Order: sequence, then C-alpha cells, then structure tokens
Amino acid sequence: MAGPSVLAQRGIAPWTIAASVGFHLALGVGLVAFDTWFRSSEPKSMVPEHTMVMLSAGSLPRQQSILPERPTRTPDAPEVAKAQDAAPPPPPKKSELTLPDKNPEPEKGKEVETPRDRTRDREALLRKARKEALVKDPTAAIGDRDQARTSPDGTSSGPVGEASVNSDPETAKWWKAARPALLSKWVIVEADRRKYAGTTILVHLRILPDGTLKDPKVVKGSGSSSLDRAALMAIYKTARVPAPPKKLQASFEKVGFNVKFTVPTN
Amino acid sequence: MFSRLGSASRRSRQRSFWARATATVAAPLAVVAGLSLQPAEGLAEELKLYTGELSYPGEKKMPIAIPRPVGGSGAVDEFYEVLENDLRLSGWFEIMDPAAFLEPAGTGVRPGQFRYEDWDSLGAAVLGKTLLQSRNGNQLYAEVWVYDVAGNRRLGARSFSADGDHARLLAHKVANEIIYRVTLRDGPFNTRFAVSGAFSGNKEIYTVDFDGYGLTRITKNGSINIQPSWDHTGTKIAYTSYAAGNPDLYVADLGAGQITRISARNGINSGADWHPSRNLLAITLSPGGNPDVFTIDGNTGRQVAQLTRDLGIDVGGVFSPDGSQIAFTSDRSGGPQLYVASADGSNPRRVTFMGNYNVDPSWHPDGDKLAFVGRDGNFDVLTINLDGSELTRITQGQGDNEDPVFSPDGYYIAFSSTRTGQSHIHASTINGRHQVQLTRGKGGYSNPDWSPKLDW
Repeated sequence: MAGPSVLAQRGIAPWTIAASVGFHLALGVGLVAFDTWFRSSEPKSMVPEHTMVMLSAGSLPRQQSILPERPTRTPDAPEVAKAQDAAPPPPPKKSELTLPDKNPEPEKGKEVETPRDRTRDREALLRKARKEALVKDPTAAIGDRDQARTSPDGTSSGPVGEASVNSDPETAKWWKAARPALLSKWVIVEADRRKYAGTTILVHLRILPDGTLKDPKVVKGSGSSSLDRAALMAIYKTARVPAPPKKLQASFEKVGFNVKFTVPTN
Repeated sequence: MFSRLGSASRRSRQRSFWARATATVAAPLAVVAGLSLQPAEGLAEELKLYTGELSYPGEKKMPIAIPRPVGGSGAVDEFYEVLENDLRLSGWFEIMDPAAFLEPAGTGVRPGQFRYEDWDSLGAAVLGKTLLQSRNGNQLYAEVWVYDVAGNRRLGARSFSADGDHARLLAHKVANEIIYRVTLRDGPFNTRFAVSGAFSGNKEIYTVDFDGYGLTRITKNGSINIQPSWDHTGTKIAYTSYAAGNPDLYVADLGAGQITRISARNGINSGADWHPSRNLLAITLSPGGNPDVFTIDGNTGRQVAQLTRDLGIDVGGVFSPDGSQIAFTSDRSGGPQLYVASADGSNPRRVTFMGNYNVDPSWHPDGDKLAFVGRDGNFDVLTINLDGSELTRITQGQGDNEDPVFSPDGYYIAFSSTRTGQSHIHASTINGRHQVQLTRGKGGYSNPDWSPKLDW
C-alpha cells in the first residue's frame, strides 16, 4: 500500500509504470513467438516427398552429348548436269565427327584430380562405346539416360518447382532483354525450317550470376540432330546474356534454366 | 514472407541468422511503432527451374560464306562476282565478308578437305564451296558443294559445264543450286524478264536476265511497243505495238526470229496474256467501241470467245495458273476494280473493294492470290487473296510502283518503280520485306513479264 506513495515521493507517475509493464509484456510475447517460429522454420520442401522423387528423376535435364549430323562415309558424287568426271569424295575425317571441345580449361593454380581407379576406367570404356554407337546412330544420344541434376559443388540441388519466365514482371523483363541475343545467334537452314515446322527443342543450361551461359544440353530433341545442334550452337555463340536479377541467381546457377526453341509452323 | 526466407539453403540461413534475429527482435517494436516488416531486397527466393521460349523468326537471312572458287580458271573473277550478287539479290542470305575468313585460300571443297570449325566460329550458317576449272580448251567446269555449318553436314553437291565465255551463266546455275539445297525452293536465276524499254525516245521490247544483265532487244521499229507477255514455253512473246498506227497485237517467236502481227482489228488489240498450257491468248478488243476481254488463237489471231459483255470497260484479262479462271479489271461498278470469272467468262465476281482504283492483276502460281496496282496518291503494289482477304501492301511511299508479276515459284514479285527517279525493274519477296533493284544504268523499264523457267 506504500507503493504509490513511495513512487509519488520519488516523482514517478503511475502511467509510466503501466507503460513499462506493457512494453515488457510485449517484448516477452515477441521473444516467445520468435522461438516458436525459429524452431518451426527448419528447411522444408515446398513440394511433397513423392513429388521430389519424380522431379529428380524425370523433370531434370538428362545428360546429353553435342552431336554432329550423322556422317556420310561415302558421300555421293555430285550430280552431273552434263557428263563429267567428278570422282566420289573421300569419307570425312574423324575430326569432323566431333565438335570442338567447348569445356573451359581448368583454371591455373588449381589442382586437377587425376586418380585412376576402376570407376574411371569403366567410364572411359563407356564413353568410347557410346561414341562408337553415336557414329552409327547420332540420334541415340538424344535423351538416352536420365540423370539427377546436381549443383556444381556436387551436392544435390534438392527438389525444385518449375516456372515460366513470365511468372513475374522482373523475370519477364530479364528474359525480354536476354532473348534478342539468343535469337540472333540461332540460325537454321530454310530447308530445316520448312521440314521441321512445329517442332521444339528443349535445352537446359546454367546461367552464372554475370550472365555467362554454361553447360547447355539437349533435354528434348526435335528428331533432327542438325536442328538440335543449331540450338546448342546458339547458346555457345551467345555465350553471355544480361546478368539475371539477384533473386534468380541461385536458381539459374544451381538448378539451371530451360530454353525452349520452337520452329513455328508458319 | 518468413517461410520464403526459411527455405533458402542451409548456408545462407546460417549467414542470415543474425539479420533475421535482429529483424525478429525489432518486429514487436516495429509493430508498436505501426510499421510493417518487408523482406530485404535481394534475398534469394525458393529454387525454381525457369523456362524461356524462343520462336524462330520466319524471315531471317542466313549468314552464308562463299569462299573464292578454287581450280584456277581465268574466269573466276566474273564467276565469283556474279555468284555473290545472285545470292545477295535472292534475299535468302547475308553474305559474309571474305576478309574475315579463317580458312586458307585454296582449301578443298569436298567433305574432309576443310574444317567446319573455321566457319562455325565466324557465325556462318551456310557454306557454299565452289570449284571452277577450264577444261578441253574452251570449256568451263564448275562444282558446288553446299554445307549446313551449324549442323556439320553436307546439304548437296552438283557439277555443271558450259562454254568458256559463259562464266556468268555458270554462276547463275551454281547460285540456283545453292538456293535449292538450302531452301528446297527453285532459285530465280534461270528466268528472264520481257520488258518495254524507253531508252531512246520510243519504246521497244527487250528481254533481260533476273540480275539486270543480258539486255537483248526484240523489236526495232522506232514506235511504241508495250505489254509483253511470255508464253508457257518461254519461246514466244506477245506484245502490243503502234508500229502500224493502231494498237495491234504481235507475236515474236524467239526461236525462229520471226515477228507476226496476229490481231489488227479496229480499235484496241492490247493487253494479251497467254493461256498457261494452250496456244490461246486473252486480249482486250473493242469491236463495238467498248473494250471487252476476248480469247483468240495464238497463231492465227482468230477469235475464240468473248468473255465479258458488260457495258463498262473490261480490260487486261489474265489466265489463272491452271487456266480455269480469268482475272480482269472492270469499271462496271464505278471505278476500276479487280474481278475474277470462270475461263469462259461466267460467274464474274468482284475481288477488291478497298479504294477506288485497283488495276492490273497478276496471278500467284498457287492460284489463290492476286498482285495488283492500287492508287492512294501514288501507285503501289498490293496483294489480295481471291476471297478478298489478306490485303497486303508490298510498296509504300517509294515513287510509283506498277506492273506487278509473280515469279514462277511465287516467292518474288517484280514490278517497275520510279523510286530512284528513273523507272527500273525491282523485285520484292511476297511479304515485301526484301526489295532489290534488278536493272541498272539508264532507266525507262516498264511492263515486266516474268518468263517461265528456261532451259539452259
């Protein structure tokens, strides 16, 4: 009962006490709320577990090779308008059967792992067999194997959703700026444009934060290896697009980006 | 908002813990202060696989590399110049600068003799390699090999030969072959134009190659000779001449070197057009004073039928590509408009309704479209479907553009134009996007008619 009088003696008004109690109560409630939220905010998938499996196995890009058109081992002699003696051309050299290596050289100063083990030997054999198979049938490389996508550091990128670049204005704006460069480098011969009108080629690639295009692979081919190759070459020749918005950089670098090339019917 | 923050990677969560803790402690204070909390800009959102779409533009020119021909012929300069010019005129290609080529001069033309990489790195889509040799004294021999650079494949190859002084002809053949292999369409370089040329005060009939070279005079009467028309064999040209004082119809037989007057009726005998497969001409005659469209025999000039009997003026009848219909100009509804009727003149129907002056129809080889001249200040070339749909302007604001005619494959429209000050023959792709001047030098060209594909 002496409280108020003591406070009064010290010059402290009652409303000040009430405000202080209220503030501390609010602070306490806030801290409890924070604790509850932080415990519950452990990483969770945005999609159910079974969906994750499907995405990993099916929706992610497949390992692909960049393929030349099926070589003609003994090209036809030119048709002769008048009787001529054009001899049949020689078969193409082996160097024609593969594209130049587009993979960058290892950075200087960094060690390159060179352990020889059974796994590597086996992979080398598989590569050789695969290359030989491709010479016989270049289309064999289109979508021949599913492979879960991993991030550059080898860790799984985990489950991801899919979205269109038009899903939000910022992404759409970036794509609008990036498209012209890709379109200008995408060239197909008119005969293919007419023959394959209506077909699409889906290419998966990674985009670094500075806009550099990396590791393009055909995910879904058109049925024409030359058309698929032209789409890949458009990525290689473009090399770089405007830097993506910050909020997309992690997705573009770790999950990647799909470009759907469409040859319209008209 | 918080769930989006929490779904970032573990590493980024750890890094941003203090930022979020600070935000959380501040949250009640901010609420007290009446503020709302927004996530910091730039924080990562959930990982997603985005897809962007590209649609191939239909009218894209293909970068083509044409290295200088190998083989050592003395005619290589002329051959190379004509070949490059042909491919440029065609509208299909963007010709790459030879100065940028990486491949050493003289590298072979056949598969395995060169590297695709040398052309891929330059951005070439198509590679046209040629060989030109002089053989057997006075013979020229050419090979052309066409490659899809991006696809690393051969599109086709062919060889040709010609007399030693026909390097230009040989280059035209090679250009056609390249166009065919790349587009699966015939090139236009085995065709010619018949034209009316006013180069010396009068008007004479000439023929000229697609690229404007090879001007050859057919008439030499010092009068007015106009409206030439090729027959379907490419050996006869019908035209109207005032050589005898009246607009009469003549036929020049190019093979026999003979000119015959086949219609000299009273009034006009003009605007003849050959039937696509028969020796028959559609012609405008005015036996009673009023012009109508008739058909006459291509040898004798004997009247076969009268196709129009309207009180209005009906002129300029042209057969459809299959010969089943005829298009003509009539003012029966007031101003001149385009009409189409059956080949016997029955069932006439009006095609154009826009504007008050539409004349001079020309059939597309597919038979579903007409090119014509409309007037809206200047004369311009337009196209329209037979049902009146898809009215498309080919020219605009570039002088007077008249006398349109489709190429045999229907990919181009040629017309006379005064856009450079003098009247020359120009060609456009049927969408109007690629237009080039074909004839050079002194102007005065008019009434072009496109020959059928000619045998070389």
